[in-house]
Amino acid sequence: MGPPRHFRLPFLILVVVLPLMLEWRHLSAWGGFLFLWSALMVGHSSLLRWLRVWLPLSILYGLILLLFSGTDNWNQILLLMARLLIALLGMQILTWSVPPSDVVRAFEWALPRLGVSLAIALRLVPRLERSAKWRLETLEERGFIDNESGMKALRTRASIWPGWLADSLDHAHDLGDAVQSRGILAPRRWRHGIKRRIVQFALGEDIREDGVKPHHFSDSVQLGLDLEINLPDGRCIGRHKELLRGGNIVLLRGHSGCGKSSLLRVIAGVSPWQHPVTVNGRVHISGHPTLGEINLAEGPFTEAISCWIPQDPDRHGLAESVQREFKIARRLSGPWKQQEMLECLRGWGLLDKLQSQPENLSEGEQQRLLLAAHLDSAQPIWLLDEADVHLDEAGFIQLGKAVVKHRARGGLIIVVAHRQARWKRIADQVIDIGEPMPSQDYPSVWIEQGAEVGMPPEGDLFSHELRPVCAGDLILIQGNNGSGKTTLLREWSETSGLPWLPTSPDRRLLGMTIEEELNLQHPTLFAQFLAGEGVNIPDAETIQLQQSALRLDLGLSHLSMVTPVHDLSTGERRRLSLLPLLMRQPSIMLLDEIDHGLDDLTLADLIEQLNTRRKAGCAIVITSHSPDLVAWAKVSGGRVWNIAQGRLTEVAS
Amino acid sequence: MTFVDIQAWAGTPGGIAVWLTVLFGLIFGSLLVSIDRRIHLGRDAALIALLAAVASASRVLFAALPNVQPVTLLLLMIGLHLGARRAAAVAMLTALISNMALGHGPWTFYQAIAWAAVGTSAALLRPLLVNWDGTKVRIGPLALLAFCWGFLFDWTVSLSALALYQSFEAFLAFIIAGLVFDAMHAVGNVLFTIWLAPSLHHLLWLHRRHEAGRWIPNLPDETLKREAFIAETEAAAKQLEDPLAGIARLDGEN
Repeated sequence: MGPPRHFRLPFLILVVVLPLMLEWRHLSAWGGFLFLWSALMVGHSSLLRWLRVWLPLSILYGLILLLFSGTDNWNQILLLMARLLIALLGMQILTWSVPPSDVVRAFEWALPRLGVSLAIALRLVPRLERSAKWRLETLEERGFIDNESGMKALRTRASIWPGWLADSLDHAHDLGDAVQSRGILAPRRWRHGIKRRIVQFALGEDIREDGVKPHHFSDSVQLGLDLEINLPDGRCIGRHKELLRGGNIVLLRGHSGCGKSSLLRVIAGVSPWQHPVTVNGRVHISGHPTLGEINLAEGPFTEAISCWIPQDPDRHGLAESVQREFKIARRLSGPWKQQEMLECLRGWGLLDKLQSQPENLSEGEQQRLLLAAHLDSAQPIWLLDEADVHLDEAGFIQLGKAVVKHRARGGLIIVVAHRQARWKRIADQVIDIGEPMPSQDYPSVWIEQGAEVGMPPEGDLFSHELRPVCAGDLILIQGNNGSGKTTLLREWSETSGLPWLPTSPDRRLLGMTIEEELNLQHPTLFAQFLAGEGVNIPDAETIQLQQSALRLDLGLSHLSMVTPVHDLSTGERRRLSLLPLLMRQPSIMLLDEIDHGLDDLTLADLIEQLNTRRKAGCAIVITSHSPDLVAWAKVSGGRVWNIAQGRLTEVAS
Repeated sequence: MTFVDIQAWAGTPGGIAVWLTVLFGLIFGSLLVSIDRRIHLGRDAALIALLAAVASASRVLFAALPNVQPVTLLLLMIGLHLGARRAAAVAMLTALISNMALGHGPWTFYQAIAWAAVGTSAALLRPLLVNWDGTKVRIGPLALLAFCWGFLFDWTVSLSALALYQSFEAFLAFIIAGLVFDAMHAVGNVLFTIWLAPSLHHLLWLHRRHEAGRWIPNLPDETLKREAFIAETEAAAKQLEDPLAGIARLDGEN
């Protein structure tokens, strides 16, 4: 209910000005009407909540007025208060009847760039809350707060504030890059004339703002690279001198942190300085269907120049629902029909998620959504940055189909992938950044099962008839996207008090710099940090030594202590977030998609670490879609569980 | 109605309320349009959005404490680091978003403009608020400025009450009654400055450092020389005679 969408301005004037002019008789009638309307619209409880704030305030100001002007004018003052209250109620009705998404749409129409900011801000507000929640959860998991007094707990909580803000700033940068790479801030080119637009407006139809015609490109598109990417200290993290042609799939390989993602960012035309790097040289695209010749050094550009699918899908979605994400993406890429959207979503297995909020989707489903909405056939160059990481087999096949189809159209596809065996089969060209990586076997050990250490949770969400988990067990959980693998780990962690590592490492990183993060990884280390160098906290030195040894094992010892955590590569952040888990030595370690962002060498080192833990009696539970990891789990005598429709079953090995 | 009548009406509380609201509304609208035109990069839009989201969330979070919230300090820091224009954009969005939860009204214009003024003042007074190289914030002057804005901001927003009450007496009563709340805002600003300003400064300084990345169209001389040397060496190696030339094979295959 509420006033019609296009007639709110006169209503606003009416609700504010009218009560200020009315006398008692008419005012009470108008007030009664507004109270009835609001009670019907939002219910009595909301109305009472509103009255609980504004009625005492109005009475207070009435009393102040009586104090200053004397009691002779009480009738006038009462009238003034009634007018004020009713004008405020009118404005509140307007606020109730305008959902935030309408405000965003109004902004997008009139002030498109601020509208984008507003849309992002509205999406960020709940994300900020969730991020704060994850951090508090992490603090508790690491043993903080439990044993601390009120003031000390407050101090500990306050210490995560800079890291929380730094992570949020990083997320905002990711969203900004997504906006820029997709051309959302580009000036609109009207496809329809003014008459058509008036008719559409009058009929209440969606006004189509798609400015670009459908494209047909041949294999004439070419990408010339002659550049060098340097860190602020002058260290080169990539020298690229290539000519890549349309009609090819190019696989880009290299170890973690070698600059693969930075190169894709440069080609995508977004700011290459996610980390403070300097780009020397040129990148030239020729044969772009709408922009022709592009010299990327002249950027940044407001138009989309390629289709970039970045890592971490939960940090790059813009809209509040699946449907709206799709609409934004398709409006930018050219004319489209509702039917097309439904068919595409069906293809990617997302049709039943049409109205869902992206936050409620699993990582795999979010990745599918990003691919479904933003794989833009109108763009000749596709840049896929570990796009297959969260996808199950069906999802990967769908992606493979799309990629091969785009190659047949004459498109150029550049793929960055660590688990590359599947990509190598269809790639036309393989480029190694830095020294070529030797093929790596994951170290496997056979460990005798020990005593029983736990069982997965059973209840409303999950059921099973599994054997118990024993010390030294290696368990790999498989399942389709959205089948509940992450939910299982979370539930298990909550019911058994076990630590778990989510897919996104940022959920388990608390500090703004590496030094802060290392101090916050253990309560004793944090106490030592607060006490200063002059005081020795018992056990602090031992824990510090243990932490240093693990840092060395995980290849993190070279990092400077003042480096901001968000300057690290995804792989480095993942290993850093794993440190406190390894330090705690739990009976069962729950790891969600452990291989994400890690090259083969680093993953092999990590697996070596996990094998050592298993020998010491720790059971390891991991989820993964990687066929390599499944093979490794089987070779290592691991158990494979499958999860489907809330039922866990053991797969015979 | 003659011009003299309009002039007389404009001097009455009701008249003042109307032209003041119209004036502030126009300033608000023109600021919005000018800011919209100046956002060119997605990263700009996202940064503004994030800061507005943080400010709005913190305003709603502290809503239980009357008039104590860190938005004024946030706007001061944004003005200090990112300039008056971005601070104004954040101020507009913060007023819009936080009032979606706390209630919109004529005060929305006044809040937005007052916060934009807060950011602008920090941008103008930047030399006094940071050390010589901009790496450290001076807490004393910043706290003083935040304290002053505690009162100035509230009095600016109180102008919206003139539009609602339409009486000078009521407006005066409103200002006097609010002095305690204004003082709470000012003291809260000082406390927030001591608590949050150093880490906020560090964070926004890091952001500026990131934005300082560059694209230089020419490759470094060292790289060019190194590659030229490698190319020359390879070419020279190709031109070398086959070291086995002239040696006859004994098995007679040649």
